[in-house]
Amino acid sequence: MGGGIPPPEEQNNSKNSPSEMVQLSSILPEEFTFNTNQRDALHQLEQQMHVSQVRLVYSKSKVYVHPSNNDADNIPGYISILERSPKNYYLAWTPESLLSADQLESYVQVEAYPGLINSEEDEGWLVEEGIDDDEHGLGSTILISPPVSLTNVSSPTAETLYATSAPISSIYSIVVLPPKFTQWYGSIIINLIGGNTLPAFVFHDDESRSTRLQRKRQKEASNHTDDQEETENNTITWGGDEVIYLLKKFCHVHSSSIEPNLFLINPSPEDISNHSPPISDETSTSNIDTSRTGPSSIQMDPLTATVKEIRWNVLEKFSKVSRFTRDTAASILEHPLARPILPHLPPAVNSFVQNESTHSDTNDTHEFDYGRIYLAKWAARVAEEAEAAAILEQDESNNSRLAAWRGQLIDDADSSKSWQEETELGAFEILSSGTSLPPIHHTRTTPLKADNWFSFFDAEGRLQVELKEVRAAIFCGGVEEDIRVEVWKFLLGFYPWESSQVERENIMEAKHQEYWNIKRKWWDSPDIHDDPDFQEQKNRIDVYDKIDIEKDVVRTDRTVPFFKNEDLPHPEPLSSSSNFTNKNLELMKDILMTYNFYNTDLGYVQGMSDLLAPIFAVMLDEVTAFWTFAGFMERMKSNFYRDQSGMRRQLLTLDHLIQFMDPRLYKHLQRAESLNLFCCFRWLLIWFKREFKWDEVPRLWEVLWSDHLTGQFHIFVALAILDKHRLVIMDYLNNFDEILKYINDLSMTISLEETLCRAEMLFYQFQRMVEAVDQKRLELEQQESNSQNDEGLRRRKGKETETETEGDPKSSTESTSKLPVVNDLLRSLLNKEFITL
Amino acid sequence: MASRKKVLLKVIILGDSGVGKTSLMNQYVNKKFSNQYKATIGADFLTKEVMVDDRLVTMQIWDTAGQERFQSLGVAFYRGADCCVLVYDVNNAKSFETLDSWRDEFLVQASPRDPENFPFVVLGNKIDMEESKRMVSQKRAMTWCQSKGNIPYFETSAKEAINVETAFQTIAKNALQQEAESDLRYDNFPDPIKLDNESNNNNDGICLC
Repeated sequence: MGGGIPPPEEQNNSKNSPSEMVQLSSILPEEFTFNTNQRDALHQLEQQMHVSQVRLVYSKSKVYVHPSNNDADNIPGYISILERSPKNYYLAWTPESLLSADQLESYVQVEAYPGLINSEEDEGWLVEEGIDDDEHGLGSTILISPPVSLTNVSSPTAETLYATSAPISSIYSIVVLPPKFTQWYGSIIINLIGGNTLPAFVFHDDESRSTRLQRKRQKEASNHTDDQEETENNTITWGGDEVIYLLKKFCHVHSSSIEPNLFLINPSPEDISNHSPPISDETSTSNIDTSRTGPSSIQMDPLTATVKEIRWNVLEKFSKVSRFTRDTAASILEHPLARPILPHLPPAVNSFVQNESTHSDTNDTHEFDYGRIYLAKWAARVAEEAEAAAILEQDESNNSRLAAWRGQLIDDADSSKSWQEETELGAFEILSSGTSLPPIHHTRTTPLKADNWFSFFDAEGRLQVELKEVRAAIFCGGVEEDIRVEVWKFLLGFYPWESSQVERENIMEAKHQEYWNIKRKWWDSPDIHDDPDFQEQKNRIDVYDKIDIEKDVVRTDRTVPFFKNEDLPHPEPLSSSSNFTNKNLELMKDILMTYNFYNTDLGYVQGMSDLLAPIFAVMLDEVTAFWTFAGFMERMKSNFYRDQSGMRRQLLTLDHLIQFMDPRLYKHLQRAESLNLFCCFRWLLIWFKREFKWDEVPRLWEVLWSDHLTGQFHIFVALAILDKHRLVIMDYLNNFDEILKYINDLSMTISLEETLCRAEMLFYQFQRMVEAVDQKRLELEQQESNSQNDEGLRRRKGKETETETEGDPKSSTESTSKLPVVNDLLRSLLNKEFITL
Repeated sequence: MASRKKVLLKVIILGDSGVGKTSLMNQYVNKKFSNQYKATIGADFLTKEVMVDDRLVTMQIWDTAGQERFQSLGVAFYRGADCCVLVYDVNNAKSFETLDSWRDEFLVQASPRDPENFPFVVLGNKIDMEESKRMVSQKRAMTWCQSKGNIPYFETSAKEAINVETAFQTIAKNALQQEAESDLRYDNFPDPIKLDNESNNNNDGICLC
């Protein structure tokens, strides 16, 4: 096994090392600076206690407060144990945002070098060297001073609202909720003496460096001890467990036998008798196993534990992705915990694993192998849950990197290295070299309700708020079903936004008239298509369009109830393979046929029936469905041009965007000969209609129609899906066939809300990067013009590895040339107008 | 056999929209039929392991969009094909008439090394429908196939699984032969299949049903 944990030189002499000595004012200041009363209180307290420094005994990263169900609101922070005066311990939670760089460093160090890790006996439990078990034996010498609660010190911002610290002596009990299948993250809830309850602290173990480190250690330890599975099971842990374990070093933790998840802290004799019998009075670390396997311990159920263990492994492997780690998949499956799964994998995968481990030459990488696709899907599924949760947070200290880039940073050192190796001068370097920007948040929220919608309009039915406000509301949540018909008429240009109610009524009437006029052109004489003269006259209208429409409509979304029935005899049974149809199918055909006479340049092209079906199913009425469809087609028509110019433009835009945002993925696609991006063809042609579930398509489309951030948000949706799967793609899929198949098979498995969140954040990221690149270019150009006296513009060729040498005028030309290019296609993505060619 | 290398045979299915390309592929690979397959957009493929001449090979069967508007995309998918399956609907004359252009288009875009001898197979699908709907006679189809260098011809029903298995066996066999030829040409491996057997093989494949 490769060296996992950092060498322990530093922590051996760390008992009083400066890194662990943190100024009180630097650990907890912000909590107390929000109002003067509290500041004074703290002052008093400090003076009482004569503390100028507290010792950071323990810290754990990625402990979140979830103020709402919206992932975007989650606040990452540190749980820590502080010693404010000898043996006076505090349990604290501090949001990351409140930590200065220096403070953060202390927290990170304490987390990474927690004094002593006695691996053998302790299987990776973190033990603070400074705490001597003899001295701090459970329940013996902890002084109980009057509880001083400094909790819930509030401040104007949501993040600081939850910052808290409480003397351990003021804690009455802790409720521990271990991870379950339904609740991926475990949490603890702290009840204080006096009845206050702190917010639940949720342990995002998959993001926490120390927990990951621990996993690694445990794995290594178990590998040393014969690779036996039982040792693994015993060592599986999570952050909450660890906190309880550590608290036992500082106070009496009494496990209630009445409520298995409840732990009493320094309980009174009455409390104990109410919750008897007590948990084993263990003080030595070797007792941990027995205590944890007792009936009242807080273990995860074995299934959850196993799944979690496998997931750890997959994530860990992902973190080590380097260019050709083709054995990654194989080694995942070779893990002892994966073995039970092996018999359930299809033979293709098994043979793949064997091939991979026996063959190490890479000649076959460009040969299609179905095993790789299966494996990729499997790995993606296993990683999905943990990854999805991690990805939506905006907490990484380097917050200029988003989403998947985070995933890639799991193992910071490794990936940042390979990143630099692979990019020339990626826009990320430019961003991260600048001052730190605020984290990126998405704005997704609940759908727009009827009340809110109608409140946008005045008595005359005219919009009384800014249009951009309406657009934003639709973008952020979509709209409730009951107003969808109405909202779509605006979004799709049937009603102008500035119209009044009366005007809209007139429009409705006129549009009805106009529709029937167009429809009459072909409807009045059903034989018209067999009439060669008619075709001569309308030379552009292909007689075969009618046949194509018929063929496609009868196979469009027939599993959806709206189109399912076969209760009408087919009007032209000879033309169809089925003798029955239904009213909605027939109306679909009419609408498409009429559109054919409305836009005579285009003709019917496959994909149009996919675009019409959801619109018709929402509008329910032939005339409004036609006009809203026609409105949609104004955006979409270039996708269907004979010369494919529209599709080409979009694929090219996506190509540039990937190159700009994710050079590593771009290079991989290049190596895999997939840069034509045909794997995304269907996505863009019909706006993901085949990728998301029928019920979700309206939500997606209304968000895309809102043109809130950009007129081409669908390009970011495409990027978001690729981004989500980038590690799997780069690690497992080596050629065009495999990537195409993998992407095609994502259909109906993609989470819409998550994709929209990710797409939005990618957009903001893109926006920032463009600004940063422009800014940088400007700077470099200025430097260049300042040093124009050197006539010959020197341009050293082909030195891609050379890093940017800012401030060196000689290389400024070179640097500008290495800046990522923001071409017109990319700039068009910042435009809120939708593109028509 | 000269090499024990895993063999992947790439097969492309072409033909007008709605003739049953997706259905044929699914019937052959998954033994399933549904009349609810949506119109194919872009391209997709399925794989199936089959025994051909005592050799285990993987067939990778590519299903493409039938509408003429999307033909230009083909080049990305056609490259490296070992066999091309041309499908038409026996109840739709136009779908038969366009076989010529599908074939030409394929030869242009895939640009096989030896276009004269590149293996095609023609399938006349939907023979399960009433005889009264039939628009292309077997004779007409076979005449065309013969004129194009004795292309094997099968009449199939994806819906009722008629002749699908047989047709794909021939497809696999001819594809493997094509693959072996490329091997011969480029690796100088002795090839057990003689080139001049090819036309005979093709004739064997013709199904007179």
